Parts: sequence; C-alpha cells; structure tokens
Amino acid sequence: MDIPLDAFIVEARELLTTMESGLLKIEDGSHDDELLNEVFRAAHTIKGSAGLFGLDYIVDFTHGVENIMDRAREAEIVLARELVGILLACVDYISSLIDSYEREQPITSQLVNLGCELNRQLAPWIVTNVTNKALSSDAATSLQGEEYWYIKWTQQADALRNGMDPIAIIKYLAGLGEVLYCSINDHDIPSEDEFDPESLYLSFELALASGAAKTDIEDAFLFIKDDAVIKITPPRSSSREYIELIQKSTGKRSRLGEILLSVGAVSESELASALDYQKQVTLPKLPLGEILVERESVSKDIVDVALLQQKIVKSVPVKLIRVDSERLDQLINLVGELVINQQRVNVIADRVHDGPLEESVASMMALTEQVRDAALNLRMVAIGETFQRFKRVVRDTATALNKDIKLVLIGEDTELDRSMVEKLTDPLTHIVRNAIDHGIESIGVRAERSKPTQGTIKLAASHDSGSVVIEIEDDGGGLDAVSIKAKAVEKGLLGETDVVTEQDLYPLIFHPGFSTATEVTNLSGRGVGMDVVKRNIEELQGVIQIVSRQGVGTRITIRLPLTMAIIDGFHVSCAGTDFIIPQNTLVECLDFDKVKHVDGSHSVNLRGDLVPYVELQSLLSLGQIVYDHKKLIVVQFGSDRAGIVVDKLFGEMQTVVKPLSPIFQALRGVGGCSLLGSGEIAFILDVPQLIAFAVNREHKMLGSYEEQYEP
Amino acid sequence: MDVELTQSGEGAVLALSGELTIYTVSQCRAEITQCIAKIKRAVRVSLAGVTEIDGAGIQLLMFFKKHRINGDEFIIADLSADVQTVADLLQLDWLADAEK
Repeated sequence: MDIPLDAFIVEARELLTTMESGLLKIEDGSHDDELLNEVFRAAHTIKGSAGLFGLDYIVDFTHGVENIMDRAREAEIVLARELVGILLACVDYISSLIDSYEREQPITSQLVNLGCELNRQLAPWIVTNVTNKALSSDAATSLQGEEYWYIKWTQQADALRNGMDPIAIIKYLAGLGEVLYCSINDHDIPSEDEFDPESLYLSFELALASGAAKTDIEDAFLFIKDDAVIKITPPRSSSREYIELIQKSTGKRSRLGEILLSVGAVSESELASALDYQKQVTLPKLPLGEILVERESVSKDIVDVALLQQKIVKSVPVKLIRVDSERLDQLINLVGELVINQQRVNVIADRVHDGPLEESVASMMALTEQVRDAALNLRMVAIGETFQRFKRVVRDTATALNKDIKLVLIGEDTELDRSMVEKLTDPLTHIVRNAIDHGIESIGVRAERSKPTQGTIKLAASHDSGSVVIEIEDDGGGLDAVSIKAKAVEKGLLGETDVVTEQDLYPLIFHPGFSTATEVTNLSGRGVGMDVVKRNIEELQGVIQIVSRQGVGTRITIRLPLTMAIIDGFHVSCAGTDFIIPQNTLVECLDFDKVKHVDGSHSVNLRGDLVPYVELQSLLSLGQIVYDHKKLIVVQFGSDRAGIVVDKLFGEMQTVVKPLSPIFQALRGVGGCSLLGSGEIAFILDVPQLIAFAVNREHKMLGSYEEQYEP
Repeated sequence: MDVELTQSGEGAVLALSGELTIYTVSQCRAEITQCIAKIKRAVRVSLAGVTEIDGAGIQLLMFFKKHRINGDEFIIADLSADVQTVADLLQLDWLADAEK
C-alpha cells in the first residue's frame, strides 16, 4: 500500500471517530453549533480526501451525509434520534468501505447493497437544490443561477430632508453594473394622519450584477452609512473567492476580524462597527463572527471557513506529528540503557573521589532524569479517547437489550502509558458490557424497584499515589451472592458448609468458567469473560477489585502502575540480596526494633493503626541477616498499608524495569528485576502482592473483615 | 408645483406639473388630498408635466396608491420622461406601466 493512501486511511479513521463522538453528543441533547460544524467538516474532509485518491464510492456515499449535516447546521433540519441512528450506521459503513480499501479488496455486492439501503433511509432528509435564501422567493426563482450582490438598506426618517435621496443611491449602484431586481418596501408608510411626506418610510432591496469590489459598493452609502442599516451580501462566486483566499492565507493573522478584513470579506467600517457593538454588549458576550453574520455583513460560510483557518493558525505551535510507536519504544529502551549506565558512572565516580568529576556526574544525572521523564511522557496519552468509544458500546448494547442507560465519564484527561491504554480496551469493554447486560436491570424491573428507569454507568479515571485508578460503576442490581455461592460450590471452589462473607464471594467471579447468568446472550454470559479480564489486568501489573451491594450496584476498581518501563525506586537489601521498592508506594522507614509490636501477630502498632508486616528474609528464604538493625519500610497501595522488613537502606535510584524470564513469572512478591550501577541484579518488589499477603495473613488470624463497600 | 383638477363627463383628471420633490411634497400632498376629497370617484393623475421626481415624490405617490380606499381610484398616467426613467430604474411596475 502506498504511503499517501495509508495516511488518508489513518486520517479518515480519526475523522470518523470525530463524527461518531459528535453524533453521540448531539444525540445526548447537545445543541452546540460547533459540534454540527465539526461533524460536517469531518464528512466534508473525508469526501474531499477520498476524491483525491479516486475512491469514488466513498465520495458518492459521503456526499449524502455531508448534505444532511450541512442542512442541520443551517438549522433546516433537526438531528432527531432516528436520523442520528442512521448517520451512525453511515459512519460505520464508511468505516467498512475504508477497511475494504485498506485490505485492497473490491467493494462486495453486500456492501453496495447496504450502501443503497442507507441512502434510501437518508433520502427524505437530503435536498439537491439549494436556493439562495437572501432574496424573497419570487425574485429568487427568477434570478436563480445569477451571480449578484444583494443589497438591502433602510435609511433614517430624516434622510429626505437632509438631501440623502435613496434614488441617488440606486442610480449610483446602477452605474456599477446591472440592477437585476429592485424592490421598494412601502410597508411602513403610515395612514393618512400620521404620514409626513417629508419623512422617509421606505426601505430598499436590490440585486446587482457587478464585478465591483465590496468597497465600491459601500461607497454608494458613503454619506449615510452612520445612520442607516445597510446589508451587503456578496455574490456566491465571490463567497467562493473569499473562502479560497482565506484558506490560502498562511499569515500570522489569528484574529477573525483581521482574517476577514484581509481578504475583503468585510470592510473596515463594518468591522469597526461590529467591534463597537461587541464592546457595548457585555452579557451575553457575542462572538464577532455571530455579530457579522447577524448583520449580514458576511455570510456564515465565510465566517466558518475563517474560524477554521483561525484554529489552524492558532494551532501551529502545538502541531502534531505522527511517530511510529516502535521508534518510541526504541527511544525508551535506549533511555533505559542510558539510565543504567548513568548508575555505573555514579558508582565509579564515587570510588574516584574527584570533586569536578562528581560535580559533572551529578549534573549529568539530573539531565538523564529529565531525558527519562521526557521520553516517558512521549508515550503518555489521555484515556479520554478510549472512554469515548464506550459511548458507542453503551448506546448500541443498551439499544439491543432495550435498556435506557446513561454513560458518565470522569477524568477523561487522565494520562497513562499508550501501551497500557491499548491493552485496557478489551477488558474495559468486557466489564462495561457485563454491567449493561447483567448489571443494569430492565426498565420494568427498575421501575418496580423504584429506581430511575435510566440506568447509569460511570467510567472514572484518576491518578492516585503513583498509580492510575479506573473505576467502572453501575447502579444496577448488584451481584447475586446466593448464585455465586451455589456456583462456587458446584465448581468445587467452596465447600457447602464454608462460611464466607459476601465481599469475599465476589472475587470468585474472576475464576475461569464462572458465569452465573442463567441465560446466555450474545453479549456476555459465556463464562469466558472475567477471568480473561483479570489476567489482562495482571499482565499490566495491575490489580482488580470488585465491590457490590445487592440492589444498589457494583463497582469494579482497576489499579495500574503509571508506567512499566522506568520507575523511581528505593534501593534496599535484605540478607545480602538487593531489592527495589517502587518509590511511589513508600510511606515511611522506621527502626524495626523501636516500633510497638502486637503480641502474637505479624503486626505493629503504628500511631494507633494496626499495620501488618512481612519479613523478606523468611518469606523468600534468604540467608542470614547481615546487620542486626532491621528496618521496617511502610508501603501503601490503594487504601491498604503494610510493612516490609529489610536490613539495609541505600536510598533512591532510577530503576529500569526488566521483566523476569517466564520461568520466574510465578514467583510471588517479585515483579521484575533491574541492574544496579555496580552490575548487581536487584529484584523489584511487587508491593501490592506483598501487602495483600500481609493483610490476608492478619485477617485470617484475627478472623475479621471490615466492610469495604461504601455506596 | 401646480395641481390642477379638471372634471368632465369622461372623469376627473388631476394634472401635476413642475417638480415633485422633497421641496414640494408637503404642499402637493395637501393639494391632492383636498382635490380628491371633493370627488367621490376614480381620479386619473397625469404626471405629464412633472419635470423632476425624487424619492420623496415616489413615496408620496406610493402613499396615495396605498391609502386611497381602492388603489385603482388613484390612476397614475401620462408619465413625463423624467418620471419614466426613475420608474424604470426602480422597477416600479405600477408606475412604469402607467397609461399613456
């Protein structure tokens, strides 16, 4: 496949996403004109670019969609739910056309048929003949196809007395070209008693075919412009000229008025008076473009183009470039190596004890850290784009199941590593579908339970102590503890007599082949879901938790590390083995012998809080403790805290995470390894796992469980 | 500006002559109103003698066309060259196509 076509396909996909999210927002009741424009422009661009590549089929099909969006933004038609549905189907259809071109397959007859069907559905909203609305309809029909200036004005009542004869103006205009149409409105002439023959009651409109510039036409009104209402609309051809000129203008003009003025679409006086007006009216503040359109100084089309151009000019400083993600990965790898080498240099410099060397190593260290952060930042993307996809998932799934569900998105600008975002999509989709299918009850059941008939699914993302937290919450029926228990017993996961709390039952749904749905739908309930979800999340070094309350709802919380490539670590050792504790989990370091121990348990009393701890030495069967001064490192993950007992602290260091080879993947408590500057290997502790181990051991001992669910 | 009313068996004719402009419209309006108040039938308004007409003049004619109970009763005719030019320019069909 050639590269430009490839670029077109990438661009078209993005535009289709824009169209989709725009349409969904419109369906949700958003009446923003800019939204309509955005969808229109996306369709327009797809059509235009497809034309460049001779993809006529896409051009033809997209034309209809563009036409409808054009009418919608001109407020000729309303995008009702039904029409949005069809348009969304059209977006999907264009997407499948693009798929065909990408795979270099011919358009199948099935696709063609689908296209015809969609066109048939669109037909009622499409018009092929657009008339100029500016002229009164009878004049418009007689003048169709003509290129004319449309001029309309009303003078002051005193105009005649002041010698400003409208006929003189018309004579002047007639001198500039041919008057195609002239109409004098006598509507305002009052009756007998009130009529003053010396006052002017008439207003005028005329169509003028002329090659004159706008300023020439304005000259006709030179003496009355300050006390007359004048509207001059340029011929359509000159609208096109203006549009072309605006699109070609590459200057640094970033103000709308400047752009319009520079191509002559508005005159200086029009602009000045519009700006004056804008200053006078403070509430609500009107955009300049709107004022100019309202006064018919310039047509909406031209303002739209100029606004778009303005955006392009403004957006120059943050221009985006596309980079192959492999190149980014390569860069990150290199930065990783750089960091490791930096550590080595540090160690050597320490040994040499040379002042200037140590100094320059220190400043190089600072630079390396900056390079590392900048490189990692390149891969960070906002999760919003992923969240947006779920609008469509929720809409379509809910419609298929005849449910009414609202999707609430929170924290869309939360950033996380691009590779993680990609791997998150599948598990998230699964969880959201489950929530729609099993979580949210049908409208009838909801009404019975006196809940609002519209169900809500909340997708929230946030940063919390060095990790990304994603929550998927629904206000549905909650998990059915009884069926889960029955199923668990059936599967042999629980004995029939076992006493388990509800909150302990819920995680069982992550076991393979565990589905309590009595009915298997085509959406979920095939029992291949939640275990895969859990595995996916764990592959990302993440943790998944579930809390639920019957009749109230379910909340699934996913915690993920910010990035997996390079982390800030805290270097410790225990019995001669080096360990790295991720810095962001670290709370404090204490002298193990000086804290209050709780008798008969592996816990300490930390300022009144019970904190369980693990001893690495015994847990990992390490050798003899070298130093007798054991240290307690308190770490936190989510809301849980635990202590880790080690015997030596070294301090902070940048840690390049190297995965353990598959043989060691089953190892508990260790998440990866890293090379130290000395060349030694250090193990990176899997803090969440260690905490879970410590907390569970204490729970079993104390035989208690605190309710975690807060609705 | 002169307004002359002649009544004969064929009907009433109101002949306007001189300039029909902002300088004369007030006087003209008063005289025309006075004249047509006397006659209770259609009146033919001859503009043959009008040497100059401007926006105010056109507006005055429009006023009478609009407010004479029935527009037909105020029949404009015999345009002078100057009036014809203005009528054509303004595309005032009711004026431009007046009876000769």
